[in-house]
Amino acid sequence: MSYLIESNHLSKNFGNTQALTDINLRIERGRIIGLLGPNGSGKSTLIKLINGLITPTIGEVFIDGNEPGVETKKIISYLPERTYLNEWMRVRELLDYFGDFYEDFRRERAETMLKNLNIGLEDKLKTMSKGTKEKVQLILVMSRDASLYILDEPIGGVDPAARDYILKTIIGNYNENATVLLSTHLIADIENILDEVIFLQYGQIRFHAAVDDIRSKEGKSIDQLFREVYRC
Amino acid sequence: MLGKLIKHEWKAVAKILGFLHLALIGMAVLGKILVSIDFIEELDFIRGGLLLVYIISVMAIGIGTHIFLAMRFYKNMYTDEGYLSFTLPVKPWQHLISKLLVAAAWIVIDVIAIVISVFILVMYQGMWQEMADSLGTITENSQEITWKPLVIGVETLLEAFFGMIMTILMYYFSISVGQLFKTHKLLASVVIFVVTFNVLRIISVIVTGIAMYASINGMDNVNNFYLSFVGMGLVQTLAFCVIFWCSCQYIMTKRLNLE
Repeated sequence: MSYLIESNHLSKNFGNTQALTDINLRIERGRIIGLLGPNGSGKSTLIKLINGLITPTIGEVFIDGNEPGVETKKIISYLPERTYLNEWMRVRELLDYFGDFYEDFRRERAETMLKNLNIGLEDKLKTMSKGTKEKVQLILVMSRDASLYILDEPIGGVDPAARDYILKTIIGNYNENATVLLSTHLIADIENILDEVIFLQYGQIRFHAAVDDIRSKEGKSIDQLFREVYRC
Repeated sequence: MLGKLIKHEWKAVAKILGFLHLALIGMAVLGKILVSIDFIEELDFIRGGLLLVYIISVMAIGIGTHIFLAMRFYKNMYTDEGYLSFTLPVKPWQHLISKLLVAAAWIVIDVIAIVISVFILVMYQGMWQEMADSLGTITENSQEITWKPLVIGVETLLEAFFGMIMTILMYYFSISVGQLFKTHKLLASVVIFVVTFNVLRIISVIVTGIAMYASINGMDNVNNFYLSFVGMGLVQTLAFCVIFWCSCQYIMTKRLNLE
């Protein structure tokens, strides 16, 4: 069986800066994977390459056997670390938009989640707080039946209560065959839900292992290990 | 998918541009009413003032429409919104064509709205009758002329249409090339636009020169000259449409670098 994500010698330079160097990655289906690393380690660059938002300098990446393109965009649900929605749109219009372009968008699921968070369909993004906007965006992304969810810093900017809700949403809304790739530097919060971790440093994979293996072999929590690996 | 892109593109720009153009028509109606009311002779300067406000508004809305459409492309493709646009399951050329068609439609609407508003302002009793009469005179006279005026008319219309398409594509081209710069991308886009605009003008002058030279050597009358002049202009415009389109397509597919 082919891997869900496979990259060969994937590298990206921005001018003279090497953002990613020789990434060889194999990711299977049905996993929750933490993409961990300090700021500037290349997390977002890797995510953008998988989404086709930037093009590799060297190497290649395949998602479900295809290079980034229309076919891969149909099966990836991506939450960037910024607000990518048009400010003047209402929640209802956003649901129309996602429903029009993504066949796997489940509108009822989105409406239920919005209701749980007391976000009205007629609310305008412009009038929302930053945290609420992030929640709307996460709901839109998690309301798709995608094969691959890529969430870039989904819990960075919200309060702990919202953080819990978001993690619950992530775990509660993906099917068994889907993989969730989640980038963050807040490890302690997500440690319990991860199957695998990928540690990035200076644009390279420091290591990639199953969480259970790390716990049993190293006898450490991911958070402890992270602090050791990235000790300043 | 293309239909959906066009639908959402239309919705995104129609709110603001629709409002602006309705306001333009509304202003013309208001102006007409104010002008029709008999003012005291001494207050004539008010009419002058109103006319000035009107002219400035027409210019502002005309230029504003172009800037708004160019900015819409920039924002929706190359800023944070690009993260959504470029992760939709559509091809870059579909983004390009949907934005191009909607922008072209709005520029046509813009011209029509300005013409309508001018008509509203200058309208007087018997105007339509006079226009119909003069149209009749033209038709009568034109029977004596050959088919050439018709060809020239069609050519001029085509030139105007593709000139508009080229202008929009030139905005998209400048913005897309600006994205290849590491910093000051928007500033770079403006500089590229100014440079491209002037290069186009220089090429135009050369083409006109060639057309004039050709007319001295063999072309016998003004009609022929105009025909070949507009024809060459059209070829030049179409060539630039293709160059701009392909460049945008290339940058959006192979050189995309969203920050």
